[in-house]
Amino acid sequence: MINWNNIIANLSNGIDILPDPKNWNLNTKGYQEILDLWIKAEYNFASIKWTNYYPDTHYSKDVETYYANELNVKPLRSWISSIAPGYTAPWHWDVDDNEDDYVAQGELVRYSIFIQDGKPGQVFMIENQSYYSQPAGTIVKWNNYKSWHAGANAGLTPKYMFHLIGVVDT
Amino acid sequence: MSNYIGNCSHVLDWNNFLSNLDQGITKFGDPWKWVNPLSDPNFPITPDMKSYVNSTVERLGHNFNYSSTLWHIYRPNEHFANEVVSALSTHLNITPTMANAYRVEPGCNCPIHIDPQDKTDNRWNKLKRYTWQINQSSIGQVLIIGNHALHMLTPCDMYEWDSVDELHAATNCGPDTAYYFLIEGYLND
Repeated sequence: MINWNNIIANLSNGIDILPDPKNWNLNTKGYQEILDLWIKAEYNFASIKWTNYYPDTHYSKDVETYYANELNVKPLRSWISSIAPGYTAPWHWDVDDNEDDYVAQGELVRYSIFIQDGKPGQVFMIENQSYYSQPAGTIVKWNNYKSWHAGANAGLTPKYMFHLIGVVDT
Repeated sequence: MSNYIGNCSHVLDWNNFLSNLDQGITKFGDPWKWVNPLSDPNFPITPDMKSYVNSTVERLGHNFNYSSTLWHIYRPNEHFANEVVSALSTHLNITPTMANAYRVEPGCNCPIHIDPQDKTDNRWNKLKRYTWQINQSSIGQVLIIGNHALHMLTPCDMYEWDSVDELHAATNCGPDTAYYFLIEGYLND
């Protein structure tokens, strides 16, 4: 069993994701396309920020191992994401520099796990589905690991989630 | 929480309604700016407004990113015809006390809050409130009411609030501007 409150309380400074192309590997297909969509929509860039935390760097990799076993997945990538109050993660799919390597290992599956009880103003969306006021421990399996998704925090406290991408462990 | 009560797409020509909206009243920044009479002379002032704003600020805390706070309000007689309110009130069988349209653009938030209430009015607990998205929805447009998030709404599907003093918010992390309508009033006998 994972003590998420303890993990969240001990997270060190994560990696802020900001709409600054200087920090994006624009050679990887997808980044520029997404950035262009946000610009075309005249998206309020002042609202864009989320923070990612990675196993072995910001928290124990035991978390990834635990959920990989629970979900019968060979893990390829996992992370905790956080959106602070007043920030958004605009609609996007997750571009990954290593995607081709992942795909070569089998059919990719993706899970998102709500690691806190949902609080007012915190919302997560995958395609047409929204998730709000989810109890801690809720696990969502994505229909497609590349689905469009978004998140926002119009609420009072940071919103944390855990994400796992892998291949089915046969 | 909110309950679906029907669709009002036939009550008005909503495309015409939207095409005639102008900039509206801009709400931005912290809650003190939301109620500033210089930017919004018709903001409904209720008893103890100072306490109301203080409690809203305290609820949001000191870390909220107010650079994302931006929405626009449209009011009857000011931005659209009173006949709109009349038609909707007839449809809902209410005597209206308040009606507004709202616009939330991509990347903008209306932070979680409770609207100012005049609970000294002895009919306050009989007020009903209804809301809906006017235009076609797309990913990222969310209206939060109580413990429920309304996303990918069918245009003009109407939702009745459980209570007029529920916590609510709107956020738009999608590509398109969202337009909403809200009306409040007393049910007619």
